Amino acid sequence: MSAVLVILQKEWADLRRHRLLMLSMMAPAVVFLLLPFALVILVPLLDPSGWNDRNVQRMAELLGRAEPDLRRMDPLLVFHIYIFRQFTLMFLLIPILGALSIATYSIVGEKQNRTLEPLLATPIRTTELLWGKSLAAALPATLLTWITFGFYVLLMRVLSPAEVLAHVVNPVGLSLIFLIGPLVAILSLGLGVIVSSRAKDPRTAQQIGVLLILPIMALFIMQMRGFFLLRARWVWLGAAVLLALDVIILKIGARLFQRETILTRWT
Amino acid sequence: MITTRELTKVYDGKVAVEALTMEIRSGEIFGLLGPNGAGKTTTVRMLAALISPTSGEAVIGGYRVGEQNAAIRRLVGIVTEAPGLYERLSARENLEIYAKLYGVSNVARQVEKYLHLLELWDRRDDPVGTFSKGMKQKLALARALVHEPRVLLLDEPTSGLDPQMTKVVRDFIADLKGQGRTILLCTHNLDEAERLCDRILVLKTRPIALDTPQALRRRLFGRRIIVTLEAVTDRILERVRTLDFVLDVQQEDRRLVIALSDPERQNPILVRALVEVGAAIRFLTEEEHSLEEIYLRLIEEEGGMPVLPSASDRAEASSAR
Ligand SMILES: Nc1ncnc2c1ncn2[C@@H]1O[C@H](COP(=O)(O)OP(=O)(O)OP(=O)(O)O)[C@@H](O)[C@H]1O
Ligand SMILES: [Mg+2]
Repeated sequence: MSAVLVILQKEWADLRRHRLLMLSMMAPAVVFLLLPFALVILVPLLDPSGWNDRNVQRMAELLGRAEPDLRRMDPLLVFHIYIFRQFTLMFLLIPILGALSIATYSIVGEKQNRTLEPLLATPIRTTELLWGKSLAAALPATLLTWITFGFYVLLMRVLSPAEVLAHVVNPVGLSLIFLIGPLVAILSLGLGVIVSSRAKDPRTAQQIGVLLILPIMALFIMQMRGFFLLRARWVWLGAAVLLALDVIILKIGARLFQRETILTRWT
Repeated sequence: MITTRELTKVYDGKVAVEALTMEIRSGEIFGLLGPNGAGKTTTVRMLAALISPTSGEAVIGGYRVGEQNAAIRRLVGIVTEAPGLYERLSARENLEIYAKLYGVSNVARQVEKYLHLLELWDRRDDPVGTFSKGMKQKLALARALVHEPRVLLLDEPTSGLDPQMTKVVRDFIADLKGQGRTILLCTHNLDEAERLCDRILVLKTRPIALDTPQALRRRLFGRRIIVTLEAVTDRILERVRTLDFVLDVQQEDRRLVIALSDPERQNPILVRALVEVGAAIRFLTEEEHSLEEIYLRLIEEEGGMPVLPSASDRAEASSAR
């Protein structure tokens, strides 16, 4: 069996039994899945007249300018679309946090338990080890994002009017989840590998996550304040930039990931 | 099986191992004995192709460290200083991972074999985190053996174990020797080195001495015999001193410690002389030096180097100097 697969298997066997890590990955997914539904259902209920305030109207106007068919829609439905789109963006935190926690745990954890030395004494190539660890982090993080998104779509179909779904699951939404999602997972795990080579504790390594969360939050807030609307073209441009960043980050990670460096410098 | 020539490792200007020249013969247990920081782990890491030597060379089973590392890694099994097991995984899973990484053809059979041999079979599916230190150490040994390596590098395999478990592990290592494996055993436990090793290299950054445990002992102390008498009188002492072949006499209570150049020939004459002056001899034994004394003396005298290598090792030791 290929060494990459052996590592992948090992990482997942270990991950499955690491309840806390699993929980810390699931928690944001569940929150981002349920929060928007709580908002669209509870806000109009609690504040029947006030929810449609100046901010929401400004957003609806902005949306209407970009997509004229929204102008003819019930303001409540536009509110639904607006909230669901915002949270599609928030979904990107799932691959970021997930890939980062798995990558840092699987490297810093091995460092703490001193399991890397016997592993590196086997004929495995360091690139194979790095691939195994990267896939072990990127695949579940991406998969979790997609599964959560699947539930999101399902809940929208059940709980929201049909027009809403079509306006959320659009090229922008799909590109965010299926293109940007895996790319930020890779970026996140790459940064995880790099900081793990220095950090003594998985938690310190995970603080690098702030670096990645901030841009997403900035987009979220700017879009909320009506500064701009994400267009498919921009998302694709973003994907191209991310791809380039991923390659650079992974190259740096691979350079740090050498037998001798790992054993003698990663103290 | 393993030869090194002028093997040296420098970490950021700090010399960890210097000019280590040695030859480990096929099928022997070779002890690497040294205090903390002597460079034992560093040597093992170089021989396992984990870190590269700063200078000098090492050849293992015909493969050169730094050039044929992949071949060396397949040939060598290693028990690292820390057992380094995956604690959330079971004993069996730990071994399976390594068997697969080493490309073992019948993974299940090999894993089962070593779980049985090291008496871990009953606990095979328990997470290693629940194991005692001794069981973990045994599992680390099993892991080092799962691909049937011809060369075994053991870095302090019994450190931190209780006497009973220490014996289990030592007996196991002794058995491995019978299977024709070449074993490098790092330890600062002198008793262990003496029991298990065919030859010992005392290391303190540089190689200090290399020989069999018995020869090391003889080289350092010459030969002395201890005569225990019913009572030591001045007359007896005087008589011993006048024997021309006696190099030195010391009295310790009722015992005389006598340095001789050739006890086999001189003992009968000595005994006759003692009896003539009325000494009642209770015991006559040759003085045994523990390896501990030898070791401490070697370490203290490091730099002075009073130790001459034995004929067989002279070539190696002289270039190591
Ligand atoms: N990664 C490293 N970076 C710098 N110096 C190191 C490194 N590893 C070891 N050393 C130094 O090299 C020397 C030899 O260390 P080594 O671990 O090989 O000794 P040892 O004989 O195994 O000691 P111990 O009995 O404590 O295990 C020590 O002085 C140590 O401080
Ligand atoms: Mg050591």
